Amino acid sequence: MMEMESSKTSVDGANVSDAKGVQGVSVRLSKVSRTYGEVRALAQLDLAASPGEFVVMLGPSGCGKTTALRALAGLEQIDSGAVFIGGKDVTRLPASKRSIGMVFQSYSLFPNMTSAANVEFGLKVRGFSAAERRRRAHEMLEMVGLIEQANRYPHQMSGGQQQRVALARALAIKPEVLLLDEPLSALDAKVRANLREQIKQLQREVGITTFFVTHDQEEALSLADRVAVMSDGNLEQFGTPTEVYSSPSTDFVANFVGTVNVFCGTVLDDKVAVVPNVGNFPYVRGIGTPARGSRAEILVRPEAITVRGDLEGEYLVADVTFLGSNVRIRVQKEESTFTVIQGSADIDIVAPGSKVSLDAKGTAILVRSER
Amino acid sequence: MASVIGVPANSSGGGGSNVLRVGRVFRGVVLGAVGLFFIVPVISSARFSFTGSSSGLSFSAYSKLLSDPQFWSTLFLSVKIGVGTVALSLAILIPTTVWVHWKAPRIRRVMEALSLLPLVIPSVVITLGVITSFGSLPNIIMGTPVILALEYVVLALPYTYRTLDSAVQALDIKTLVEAGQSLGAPFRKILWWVLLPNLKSGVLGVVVLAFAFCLGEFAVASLLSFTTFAVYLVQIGQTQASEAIAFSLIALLFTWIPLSIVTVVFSRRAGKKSRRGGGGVLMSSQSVIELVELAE
Ligand SMILES: Nc1ncnc2c1ncn2[C@@H]1O[C@H](COP(=O)(O)OP(=O)(O)OP(=O)(O)O)[C@@H](O)[C@H]1O
Ligand SMILES: [Mg+2]
Repeated sequence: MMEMESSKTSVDGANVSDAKGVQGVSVRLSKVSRTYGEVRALAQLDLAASPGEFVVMLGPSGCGKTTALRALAGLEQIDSGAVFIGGKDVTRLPASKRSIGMVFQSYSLFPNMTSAANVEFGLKVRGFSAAERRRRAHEMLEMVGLIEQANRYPHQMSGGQQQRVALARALAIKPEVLLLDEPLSALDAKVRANLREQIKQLQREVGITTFFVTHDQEEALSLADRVAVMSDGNLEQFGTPTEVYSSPSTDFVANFVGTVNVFCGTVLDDKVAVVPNVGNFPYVRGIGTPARGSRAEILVRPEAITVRGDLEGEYLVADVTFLGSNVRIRVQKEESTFTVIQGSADIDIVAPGSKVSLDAKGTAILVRSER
Repeated sequence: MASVIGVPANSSGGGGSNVLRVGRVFRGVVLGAVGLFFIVPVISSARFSFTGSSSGLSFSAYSKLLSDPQFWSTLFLSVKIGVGTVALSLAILIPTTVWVHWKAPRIRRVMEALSLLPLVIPSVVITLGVITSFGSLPNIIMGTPVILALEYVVLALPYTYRTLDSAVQALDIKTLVEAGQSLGAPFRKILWWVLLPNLKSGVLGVVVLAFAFCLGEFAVASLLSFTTFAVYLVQIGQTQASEAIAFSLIALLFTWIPLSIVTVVFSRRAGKKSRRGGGGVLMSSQSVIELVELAE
């Protein structure tokens, strides 16, 4: 089973070329709101994707990612706002009239049809001839590397294979926008990583504007052209993975995307903040940055500090987790806990319970006033 | 590895299989007893129906019955009502169950409770209600078997609704419908190409149950003064015992033949496809047997 999943990672460029053509339209959600009773699932959400862009929507459970995607697809009524696909206002169009392809979180293949028939479904609806349908389905299944499974029923395939057929089915109708709602969440880690790679590669080849929902930050950072970080039905930040990770615009983003350490220190000047006994952290000034010389909280990623064995050190090692090439060390000082990730070559220097010092190595992601 | 696990598994396996064997014997005894309880009356009825006025084997009861024009006309009437009931039940129940599972899964419990009402309210009460409330309806409905079909749709609900409901339950309706919509299909095509093929077992269950119900129902039909198959059976039973028994055996055949067809078709499909449909058919065949017993 495992082998099947990984057997065809590469995408055959020749086959994909035909799927090109309708791709690359802009997509925009404008002040979209949706309320379920008391719950505000979407609160005036604004989100826009450039043609051909791979947007990943990231956020904690219940923040409205699925609702936003379904509003885009036309599967969910919205209370107010507008949806544009390729510059056209599609707010009032039902799902079946929008040019979208969708892959669902739960297995959504039609159980009474083979993979080939599933892929042909959208074409059959559109009245394509049987020969044309067969040709296109063949091409699509080849594209996702499942041509041998063409005559299998969904229950005869693994979860990963089913999701790939679902992807082929969604792309067969040459939609303008591809929507994926946590398509990998039911799969195990290895298949997941593999399929993620495939989706990314396919998207690049086909060039279709894509929205991908996940609550896995690693998945988001590795897939996206831009990440839309959401919380409480609204957009927190919309930027490249690097921007979102290295210069989060809000506390929420800093904490949700990756781990952060909060140090107390001082703003030295416009470029550097200092943490006593740890060192200097370069930073980028923002709107909320405190004045030069004032005390501040300095937010630092685990990779931006290192641990050094020191009998006089202020920090106590709480635990050490081996992660393969890296090691994660959690240290404590008074009430605060800090996380450090460094190369596992240095693992010998620390043992739980020993005293250590911290040294600045990288930059601060955010400098804010103390609260 | 195998030996490490194998040894304790073997030693405890003896006890386990003993328990299993006792369970199997117990199950056999219970099933056998129930089977006897069901089959003995059928066999002795059959024997009785073959004894004529003279000694020895006699088909007189059957030949008399089969040459009785009223036997055929009442059978035809019941079949007509049955077909109408089945068609109406499907036309109402398929959209309803699909809609409930798709749009309003929260009212499933309410719907289930509603569908059970005909079991709680005696059919006599319902019939009197129908007569008093709908007496003023035009003659096309009130004076004709149409009213009977309408009422049977309601009375068969406890069996038909639940059969279809459990078939729909086995599907992820919301996802299937939405997947269809995202592929551009109007609801009509989703229903026809996706939902119905996956609901085959449930639909066939409804067909068999509703039909068997119509053939066996007596109280309402006689209250509304229609001489249906079942009503005629009772009429004959009052004067001619062996004909009545022959009659009921024929009625039994009429419910068993469609049931066995459905079961055969489905066990074949189940073997080819997954094991999913099996439960539904089993359930409906059980209820059919219950129903047949009820009707007798
Ligand atoms: N059909 C519904 N009825 C009532 N409330 C709903 C419905 N759908 C969503 N909600 C609520 O709207 C909010 C947003 O839901 P949504 O499914 O969009 O979250 P999500 O970000 O996709 O979460 P997850 O990561 O768990 O899938 C949640 O609080 C949820 O409880
Ligand atoms: Mg969701």
